[in-house]
Amino acid sequence: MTGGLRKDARVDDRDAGAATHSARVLVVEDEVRLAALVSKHLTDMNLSVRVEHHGSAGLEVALSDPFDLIILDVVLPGLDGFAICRELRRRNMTVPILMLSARGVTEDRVRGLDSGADDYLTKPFEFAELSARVRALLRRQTPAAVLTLTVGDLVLDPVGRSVQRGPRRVDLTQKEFALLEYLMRNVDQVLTRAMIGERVWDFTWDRMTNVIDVYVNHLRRKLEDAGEPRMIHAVRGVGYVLRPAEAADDRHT
Amino acid sequence: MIATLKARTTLWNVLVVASALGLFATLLYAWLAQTLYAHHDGDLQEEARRVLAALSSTADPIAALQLLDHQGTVAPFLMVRDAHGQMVFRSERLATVEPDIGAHEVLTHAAASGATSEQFFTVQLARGPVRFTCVPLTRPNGTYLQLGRALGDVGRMLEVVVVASAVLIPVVIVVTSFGGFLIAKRALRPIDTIATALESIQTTDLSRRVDLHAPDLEVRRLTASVNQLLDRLNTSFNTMKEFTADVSHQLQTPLTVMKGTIESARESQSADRQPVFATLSDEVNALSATLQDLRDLALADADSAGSREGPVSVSEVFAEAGELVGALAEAHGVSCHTTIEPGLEVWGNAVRLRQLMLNLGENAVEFTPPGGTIRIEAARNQDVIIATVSDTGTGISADLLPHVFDRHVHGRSQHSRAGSGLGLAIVKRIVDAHGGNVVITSQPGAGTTASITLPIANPASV
Repeated sequence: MTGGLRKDARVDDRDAGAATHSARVLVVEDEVRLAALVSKHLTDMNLSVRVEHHGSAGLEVALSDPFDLIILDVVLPGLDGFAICRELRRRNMTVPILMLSARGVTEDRVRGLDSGADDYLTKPFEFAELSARVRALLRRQTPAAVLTLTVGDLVLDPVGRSVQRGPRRVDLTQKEFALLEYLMRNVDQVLTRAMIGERVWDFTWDRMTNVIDVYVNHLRRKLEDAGEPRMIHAVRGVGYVLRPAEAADDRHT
Repeated sequence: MIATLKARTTLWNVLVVASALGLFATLLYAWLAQTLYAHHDGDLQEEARRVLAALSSTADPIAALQLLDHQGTVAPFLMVRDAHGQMVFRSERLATVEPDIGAHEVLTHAAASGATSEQFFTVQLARGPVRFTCVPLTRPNGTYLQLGRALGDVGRMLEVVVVASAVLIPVVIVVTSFGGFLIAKRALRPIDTIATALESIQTTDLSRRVDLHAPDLEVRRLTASVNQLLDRLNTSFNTMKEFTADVSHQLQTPLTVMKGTIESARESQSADRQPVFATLSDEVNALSATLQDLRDLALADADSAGSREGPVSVSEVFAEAGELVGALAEAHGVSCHTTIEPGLEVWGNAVRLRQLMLNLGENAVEFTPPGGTIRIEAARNQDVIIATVSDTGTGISADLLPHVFDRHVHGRSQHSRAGSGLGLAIVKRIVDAHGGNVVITSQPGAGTTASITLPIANPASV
């Protein structure tokens, strides 16, 4: 059981390392021990990490050196995370920003995203969660204005709100559709349950994990109704990933 | 017994007035009786002296008495008795008026007891009370002269006093009690006003103050004291809330460090040690969730009173929450039916209202064994929305039921899941903040129903 968890995590880390080789990350976090933990974890992902403990110093470094990702704590001495974020965006810097703050404060989350952050992670978080979000941000490309999403034999039309698996039309509820769209837009990428909750439902709830599992099961049942192979796979301890049916066959059961 | 100060003040007022009037009437009666009797007795004594004087100069006192009696110059109650009380002489006039007077006990006794000085006493005769005096005579030796005058006028006068008191005192009492009630009501009106104002100030809006501009110094002092108390309460409430919210916020960072440390330590451990780290990780999560609940509880009032308030479609919010509860129920093997009337709207905070329904739903799922059913319903009933979450779960025992909204009381029997026990306390706060009402009824073993009443946003529109 635990062996499976560690194997999967390693596989993911290796993928991430390959994809984001030599990516540079700036961590601005005043809590020294947390900064050290985050730094170690990101280094393990083969990322090059720079840590700053002070708000103003963080902004200075962010402005002078090029980074592929900036992780900002909200509460900082000198200059808070929101202010740094706004300042960077004001200078037209498009670097992805991930903000950290104590959990569940909806106002903070909204404020963070409003001030230009790309994602928002609440403490305490799992490091698997942090990895997933860092990976998602490093891989992020400006989403093309595609008319339809296609993964293997699965086709989703966001405008017409219809889904086809092979020749078969699949009827989904609104939330199932939103969940599938999110998974398809991030094909081959592990999405944590928290990320899914925030994106599909736009809020967090203690029991969202169970709810997401139920929705994934509904979705799987509808997508595999005619005996098609599985496309949505669970990644133990982390979340879910959607892969083309052929490619996923040998990796997951 | 008598609950209001107004009624009691009036009652005491009436009692004091009644006692004072009663005392006045009694003293008046006593004083008047004393004066009238003294006057009457003086006349009687005078007459007795006159009779004695007439007798002292004659050889046959009885004959002299008969003469006096015939002349009609003395009162008709004229007798002479011997030492045994036997009648020696009696006025002619008495024979027809009071034929039985000879055997009268008091008069017989007065003579028999051997009165040596002038005494006055009242005797009740057939025609009415008569005041008598009994004087020893020297001739015939050992006899007593008994002379009486009817009390007619004196009795009538005293009677008038009694009747007047009996009629007038109740009238005065009625008038006084009515006046006393009006005075008490007027004097206590500021207290009524302050009480009404305080009742409308809930814990949710301690910033409000009693607004009363009374001219009376005492009332102004009371109002000022109450407002100062509210100031202090408000300050300490806010301090407490901010402190709770801040602390629960701040503690999340060390928890993240703990969690991260546990995770990195876990990676280097063998498979048999993994459950230990899993437990540690779970406990950190539970701690974090409790801190979050504490923060929610502290902010439950503040939030809805803040800027994020507005018209909320309860139908949509509850339907969305109901869908999530349905999924959670499915994960627990419980079926969930949601029936929500469309178009229901209240004034409030959508996030809080969703949390309200999620907490109730989560609670219902938690205590319903697999195979059970949960029903979520919401419908309009005149000017309120009634929403119910009922389950076929384990129920709540009668002794715990009154305490379900208390913090740190697990609504139902001890349960393995690590919950903060704040879920229902948060529900209560949210409902209160929206001016609603929540009631939980339960039958142990059969299920629990939570009923929420929320005032509708715009009662005028149908």
